[in-house]
This record gives sequence, C-alpha cells and structure tokens, in this order.
Amino acid sequence: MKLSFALLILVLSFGLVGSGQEGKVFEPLYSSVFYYLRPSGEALELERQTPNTIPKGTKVLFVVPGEKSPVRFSSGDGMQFVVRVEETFDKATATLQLFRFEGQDGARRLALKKEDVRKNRATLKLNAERYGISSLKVVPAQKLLPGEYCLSRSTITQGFCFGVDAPGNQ
Amino acid sequence: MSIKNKRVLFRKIKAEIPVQPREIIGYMSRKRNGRTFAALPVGELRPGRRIYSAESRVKFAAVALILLLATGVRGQDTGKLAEPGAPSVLFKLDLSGRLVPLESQVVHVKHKFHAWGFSGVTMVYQVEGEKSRVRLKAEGKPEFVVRLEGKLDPLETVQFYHFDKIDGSRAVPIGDFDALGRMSDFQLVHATVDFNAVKYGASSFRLIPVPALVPGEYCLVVRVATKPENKSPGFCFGIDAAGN
Repeated sequence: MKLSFALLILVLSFGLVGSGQEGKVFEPLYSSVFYYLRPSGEALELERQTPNTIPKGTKVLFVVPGEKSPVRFSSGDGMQFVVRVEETFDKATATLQLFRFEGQDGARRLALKKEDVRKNRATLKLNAERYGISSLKVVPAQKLLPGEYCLSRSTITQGFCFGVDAPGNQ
Repeated sequence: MSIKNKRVLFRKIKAEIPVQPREIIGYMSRKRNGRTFAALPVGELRPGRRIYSAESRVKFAAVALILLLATGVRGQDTGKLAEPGAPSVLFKLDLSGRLVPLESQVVHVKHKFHAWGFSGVTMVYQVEGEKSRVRLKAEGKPEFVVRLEGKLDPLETVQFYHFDKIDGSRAVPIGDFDALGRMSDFQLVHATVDFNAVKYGASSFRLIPVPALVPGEYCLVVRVATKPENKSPGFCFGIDAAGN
C-alpha cells in the first residue's frame, strides 16, 4: 500500500509537470522587450525603435523616425502588454514608461523636461502585475486616445512603439 | 511495538530499542527472546530525534526521487551550459557552446576639443589600437555571453557600439557639447548596436545583436557601478568581410 502511495505521487508529479508545460502563459524570451498581449494570450511584436535624444535647453526632445507606427491598434482594443524583467517587481515597475508622441514632418516627436525624464515623472500612468515567472503585465491606467505611443523603461534606450486609431479608422 | 515516527523525548540513552522487523532499515538489528531490537548509534538518540520507520524512509526516497526528476526536467536547458567564471566579462559564444574570450580593453572617455574648445567639444569612447586582435567573419550572427551578479538588466548594463578607426585608435562619439557646455543636437543611434538578451544558464545572459554586423570594429561596454572615473571595461572584436 505504501509503495503504491509512492507510485501515485510519482505519477501525479509527472502529470503536473506535463500539464504545466501545456497550459503555460506566453512569456517573452528577451529581457526588457515589450509585446502586445492579445486577449487570447498570444503576443504581438511592437515596433522597436531607438529614439534620437536631442537636448533643447531645459527640455529634451525624443525623435522617432516615421510619422506613424506600422503597428496599429483600435482604441476599442483592450490594451495590455507584457515585458520580461530581471529586477525585483518593485524596482522593475518603477522603470516602466509610456509616452504619447506627436507625428509630424516624417517623425514622431516628444519634448519633455529633463528633470521629469530623470525622475520618470512624465510617463502616462501604467498598472503592472506579475505575469508568468519573470514578466510583468502592463496595462495603461486610462483608455488610450488615438495617437502614437511608445513603451519603454527608464533604464534602456529602446522604445516599443504602436499607434492607436479611432474605431473604424484602421 | 511500532516506533513509526516515534519521538525520543528523554535524555536517557538506550543502545537498543524494540522494533518490528519490517521497520528496520539502515541499522544493525538482532533478535532476542523472540523480539527484534535495533541497535542505534548513541548519537541518534538525542532528545527530539524522530526515528522513522522503513515505510517512512521509502516515502521520503520516493519524494526525493520525484524532486530530483522534476529538477532534471526543468534544468535540461541550463544544465550543461558553460558560463563565464567572472561577472561582467563578455565572451563570444561559438557554435559548439564554447566561450571564446574577446579582446579585453579599457574604454576611456576622451574630450575632442574643436578650435581649442571655442567651437565646442565632442565626447568619445576610445580604445587603444586601430584593430582588435579578435577577428570574426561577417557571415552569421555572432552571439555573446555575460554573467551578471544580482538582478541586473543586461540591456541597462551592457552597451554595444560600432567604433570608427581614428588615428591609430578606435573611437565612437557619445555626445557633442557647444562652447557653453550645453549638449547640442546629436544622433547616437548610428553608433549603437541594438541587441536582445536572453537568460543563459543560471546567472548569465546571451546577447544577440538585432541587425547583422557589418565589417568594422565593435566593443561591448559594461557599465560598472564602481568603475574609475572616465573608464569602463570593454570587450572588443572586429568583423571582417567574408573572404578576408
């Protein structure tokens, strides 16, 4: 009986390992790369850009080439993103950023105060929760209006951009 | 008398305790007057010591086996990977999984003055020598490995630059300042190499350049908190055109 109990544990354990692999949520492979998370759990790559940073007095101008992102969502879509992080939850969430850019003259531009950039105060508000083993699910706190956006972290130079269109305008 | 999970609550040492024969495992035993006694080492009979039956031990062994197997399943992708011995040192990862050292350099921050500074200054990262002694071929996409201590983001800790050959050294501009010390319009983008980082082994990362590396000189610069002023450790290599 005791041996059968041990065997039962063994079988159940393998069953758990197997089922865990099948039902695993999508987790990004790469650190600090943002993905759009569809309601089905599938991930979609965003437009990866490294903005030019141009100091302008007390402000700094971020310029992303291209007036519009090729990655488009409808403002009616549920906006949730996922990013893999290596730091602790609190440290990582403090670095998350979402900016709205103005598209003009073939580029997307955003001017921010240097102090706000340094202290990460200029970001649109984001809510973050743990996702999978080492990722965060990031959701804008407010509905995103039509426009051009980039997600980033205050610790990296890359941005992960997308555009939001009014419903029916895609 | 069953001693299954029996706790020895008293200090008096007994050299032998009566047990059921099927409960004896790992200890000397002998029969006396039709009863079986287990001879336990004196040290095993300290107060609070739990004596486990044979069944308990089989269960423990089964659980240990399960844990071992589960660990083995999870660790399959990390078990045999060669990781750098020292943190913050970058290696090239060859196709066989071997770590190949890069050219270890000190990256200096230098100021290039224009018209003795009246027209401003350009800050550059500079390393000695016009060419790295570590040469890679342009075909294929080289990958690199670095071990980072603590929970550090490799995209924050490592910077990847394409250097230019200038007057017997390698340099890359990292900032332009006007005569009043204000940073002027400057585009760093062309000099940086974007890369992805994926966990490698227990505490290392594999760095994968996003664009194909064109022939030229490259350095991976590590941002170290305790670095001396105006110096950073760099790990350099050159890419040669295919056929060179």
